[in-house]
Amino acid sequence: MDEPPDMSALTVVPDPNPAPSAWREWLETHAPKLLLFARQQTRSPEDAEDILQDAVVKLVEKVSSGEFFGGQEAWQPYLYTTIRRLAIDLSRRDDRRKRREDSVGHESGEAQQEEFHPWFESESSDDETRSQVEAKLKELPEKFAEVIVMKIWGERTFAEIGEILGISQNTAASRYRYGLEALKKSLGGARRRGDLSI
Amino acid sequence: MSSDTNPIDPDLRTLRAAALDDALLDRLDACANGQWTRIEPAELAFERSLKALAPAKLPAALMASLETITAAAPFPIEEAKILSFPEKNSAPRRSHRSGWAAAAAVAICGALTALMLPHGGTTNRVADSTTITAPAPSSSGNSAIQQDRLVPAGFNSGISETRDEGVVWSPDKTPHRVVRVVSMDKVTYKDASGRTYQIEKPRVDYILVPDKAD
Repeated sequence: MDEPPDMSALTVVPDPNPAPSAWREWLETHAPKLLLFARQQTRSPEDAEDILQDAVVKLVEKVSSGEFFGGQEAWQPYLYTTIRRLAIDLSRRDDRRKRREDSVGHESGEAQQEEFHPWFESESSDDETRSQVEAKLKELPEKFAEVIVMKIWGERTFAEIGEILGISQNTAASRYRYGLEALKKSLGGARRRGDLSI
Repeated sequence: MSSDTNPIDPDLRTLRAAALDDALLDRLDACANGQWTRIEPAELAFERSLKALAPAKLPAALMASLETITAAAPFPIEEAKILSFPEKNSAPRRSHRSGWAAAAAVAICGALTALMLPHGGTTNRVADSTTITAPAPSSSGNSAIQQDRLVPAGFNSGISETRDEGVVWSPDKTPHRVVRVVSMDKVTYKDASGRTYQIEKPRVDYILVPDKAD
């Protein structure tokens, strides 16, 4: 059997510029897309952040316990599905709470002024374009908007979107087409006037 | 209940379901042919212009919170999904030879690069797995083999074994053959007084070679 290596003869040089953690790199790459989807799914920026955080917690728990089936490529579909499920649950709870509050004549408390949380990076386009696209996306029927957000900014395939939403990929494609057409139409006036950079 | 006992069925049967409009017919046809999910060029142009808008970065507080959540969790390294290789004991097919040669070349180049860089980030790995075959001179003690005092003087690598480990599928659904390459790298260093030190480092590389799907 070989002798063990003489570790004392070698000098370990610490890396002066340690790399960011693999998780941080992953989050920096993918979390903005997920947050955008969460914002599209919820009624407030705070809800969106809470839901994204809860979804990441669930993912980490599953990965740590070895219960997550599939590799990293399956993380995003899992997170999209979880975010959507959590958003639906939250929406139902909010509706019930609002009904209770309305029945006893209380204010819902949701009329408070929201801090501005833009959906898109300021470097990526001019303010008018960003705010118009965000506003028109919010006006779209949710079933169209969610497909558009997942397809364009989440870079999901129709098959994956279908899986996440529990619909066929052809239905996902139909919703995408209708949504894109509706978005184009609603942005039409501003685009024709040259107000938008898209 | 109505007293009219005349059956309504015959009247209903005379009605015909409305014909599909052309747009719906085209859509169903495209679905049947698997083309409905393909994006048209006009849609693609609009899609690209929207995609130019980048999603906003995470607020710093949220990122910090997510980092805290993930801090204790190990970031898993992708495991290969190895399928059984039916002809494990038979000679490799001719079409694989060039791939294996390329794989071995890649392994050697990687080893050479890793070991010849005096200040590279691989120092920790060397410390973990190398065997020193030339003892350090007693006059200089343990500090004699500090890498910043040694100059690479030679490199040799011999492949002792290559083995086909089967096929893995990458995330984009393309098959790659996994080749296990076992080799022994020998790197020679010289110090300022001309004394040589040789380090032997066994290596096992797994190389992915693009393969055709059966």
